[in-house]
Amino acid sequence: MFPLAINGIGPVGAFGAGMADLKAALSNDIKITPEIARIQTQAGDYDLPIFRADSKPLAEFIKPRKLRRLDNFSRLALLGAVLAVKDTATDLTGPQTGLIVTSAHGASATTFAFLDSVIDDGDALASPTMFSNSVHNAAASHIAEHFAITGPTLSLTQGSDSLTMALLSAGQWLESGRVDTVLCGVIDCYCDVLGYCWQSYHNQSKSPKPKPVSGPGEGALFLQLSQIEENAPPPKYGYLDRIELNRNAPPAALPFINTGIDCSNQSISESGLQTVSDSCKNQLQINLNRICGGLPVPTSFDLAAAASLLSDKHLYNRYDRQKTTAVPTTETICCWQPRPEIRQKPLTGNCYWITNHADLNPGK
Amino acid sequence: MKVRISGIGGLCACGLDFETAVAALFQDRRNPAPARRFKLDHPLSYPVFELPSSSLDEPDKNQPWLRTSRLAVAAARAALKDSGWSTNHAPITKLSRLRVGVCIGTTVGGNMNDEQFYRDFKNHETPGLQPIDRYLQSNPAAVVAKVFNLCGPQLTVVNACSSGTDAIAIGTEWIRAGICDLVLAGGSDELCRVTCNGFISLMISDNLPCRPFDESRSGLNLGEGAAILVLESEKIYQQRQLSGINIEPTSPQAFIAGSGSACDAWHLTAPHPQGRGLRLALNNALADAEISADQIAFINAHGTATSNNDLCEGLVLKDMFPLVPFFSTKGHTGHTLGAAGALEAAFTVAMLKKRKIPQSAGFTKIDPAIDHAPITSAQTFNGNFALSQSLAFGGNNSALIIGLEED
Repeated sequence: MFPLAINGIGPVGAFGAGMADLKAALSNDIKITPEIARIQTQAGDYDLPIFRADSKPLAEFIKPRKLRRLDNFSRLALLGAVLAVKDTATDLTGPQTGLIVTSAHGASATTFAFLDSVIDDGDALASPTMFSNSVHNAAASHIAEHFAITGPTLSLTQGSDSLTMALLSAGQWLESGRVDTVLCGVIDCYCDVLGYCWQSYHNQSKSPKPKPVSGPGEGALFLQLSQIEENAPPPKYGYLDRIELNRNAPPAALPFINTGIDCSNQSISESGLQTVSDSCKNQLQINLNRICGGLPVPTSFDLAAAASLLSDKHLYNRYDRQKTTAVPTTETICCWQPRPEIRQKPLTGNCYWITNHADLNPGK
Repeated sequence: MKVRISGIGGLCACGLDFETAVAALFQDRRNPAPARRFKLDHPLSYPVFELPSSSLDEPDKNQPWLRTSRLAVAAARAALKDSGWSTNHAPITKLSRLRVGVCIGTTVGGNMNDEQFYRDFKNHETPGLQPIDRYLQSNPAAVVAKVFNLCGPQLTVVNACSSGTDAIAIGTEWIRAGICDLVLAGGSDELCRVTCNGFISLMISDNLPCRPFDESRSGLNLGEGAAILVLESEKIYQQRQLSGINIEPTSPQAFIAGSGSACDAWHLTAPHPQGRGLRLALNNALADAEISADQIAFINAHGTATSNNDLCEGLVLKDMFPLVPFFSTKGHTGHTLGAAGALEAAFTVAMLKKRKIPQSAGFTKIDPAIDHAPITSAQTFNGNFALSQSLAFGGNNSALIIGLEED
């Protein structure tokens, strides 16, 4: 099933749109200023930083008239997909391309907008446009239509494991020969209800220490993946070498990227946080929360950051010092992310292994 | 590679157990009615196919999840028992030593849409988080895995109305690829006020009992239910028979012969007029099963009773399978959305074993625009392969070919 060639990446987040914007944010070349939302909770009012993503760059690729019925969720997903495809200049038209779209919460803002139409105007005047776009696979439908992808299409949701399961499904489709290419992406959007839940869950936390959390974010990450072809030039971003499920600690011998603890609206216990800190104290870490906020699928931007690190030989935005550091010579990076919903020991998480050389797997 | 279907559990408006539900398909009674658990405010009353009252109606400390997950657990429990992998009380110990995956399709079960919570929030109250906790703890695949202590991959498919079919196809692939020894695969969905209002807003709900493929059809009736299939590798199936875990099968055994999936890439809510994606999916499924169209004994069609779906589907069936009998079971179950493909695959297995297929409930008059009619009375058939297919919102088309071993 693995390794898979990573041919193109399309990230969209508070940092901007595309790999150049992500690298600029990782290098601290651009300053991310989150929007501040006033959140009213049972415990009082709070100012919560929100890391919004902007879908306006989509207008460079698609006429606004074609976008008029799309909600923000589908627009961000479509932008991520367009950027990933543009990154590779590959034609995805036809049945040999598969499409996988995953999300922890789906188009929640649109679901609530549909409920607005029910509550404000009555059942008989519920909005069909809002309902259509609230369905989980609406974004996949818009992407498939835009690129004329007639291969298999899969939308899935599996909490913080959503991207892991999407990548495993992509690998399976490619290995079985069902398709030649998979466009695979993760997308989640902020809405006021999520902000309320985020703040309320953090109010419930009895931890005396401040959480290393910035605020909720939103964004999309799309990858264009294929199997390795013999004698083909190396892919632009290396290889997704393998995925390990339920690993209870990051590997000790390799640098790794950790998107940070406490990335969702549920928090890891202090003991869990300490376990992670102890096991990682001699390793390099970066925290992407500062540039994209906390996402319900916390691994969303790990792969993009790891691929950038490997291709540029540069480690950005160190977790501890927040400054650029030269990366030690490495051909393989492991991204390990503890599951935020697990509150008890042993702490487990999923590992993504990214490498520059498909045949060089020192972690195996 | 042959992937066995070693157990089935299912429940729907036809019955709270699978045997009752199958028997109901062959009877001439169906009683869609206004929803019992919630009210709608429309000038017309829209009937639905709701489960009979049961202990599944309300969450409790033993099953604190959303209704969709409670239905999935009930179906999974019945499927494990049917397969011999569990007793009345619990899964047998050996199951926890195997790689058992869970793949479940849903639509409602993946949505954060608690209406009362949102009404309170919108009114600037500060609602308690219990509905959100429940939603976060109710991912159907994760719940089933947790209840039965299964440690394989977990995946919840949200491909709208083809979710159940897709989940079974993915589970089959997990076994073929050697990722799992067993997979609990299927679909589950509950009736929900939000979804009912959504389908009515799209003007594809009928205020009368639905009439799939009929000239007078005027939309669907929503339903609810769940079906889970125990999929099993040939190796495990042989091993457990040798070790005496299961009794010798008393009836011919069914298997997943092939699957196919393709996207219309055409429109968010309407199928491609010529059924581009459906044709691709069907051809992929036939190729995967390594059989030809004339080996299909019958077709359990999607048949929602919406104008567009039945026209597109009927034309493709007429063109690709002109002599193969077909029917829709939605006249008995309603459209159970993410559960539909799984329920229909389960029914297909039961019909292959019974060697008999039911009348297409609600159909009386052929639509000249389709010029192809489903069967109007129960009948027997020849052959060992059957097709179950789903067309979905978003342009998804998925098909399963199910086979039966020769006696």
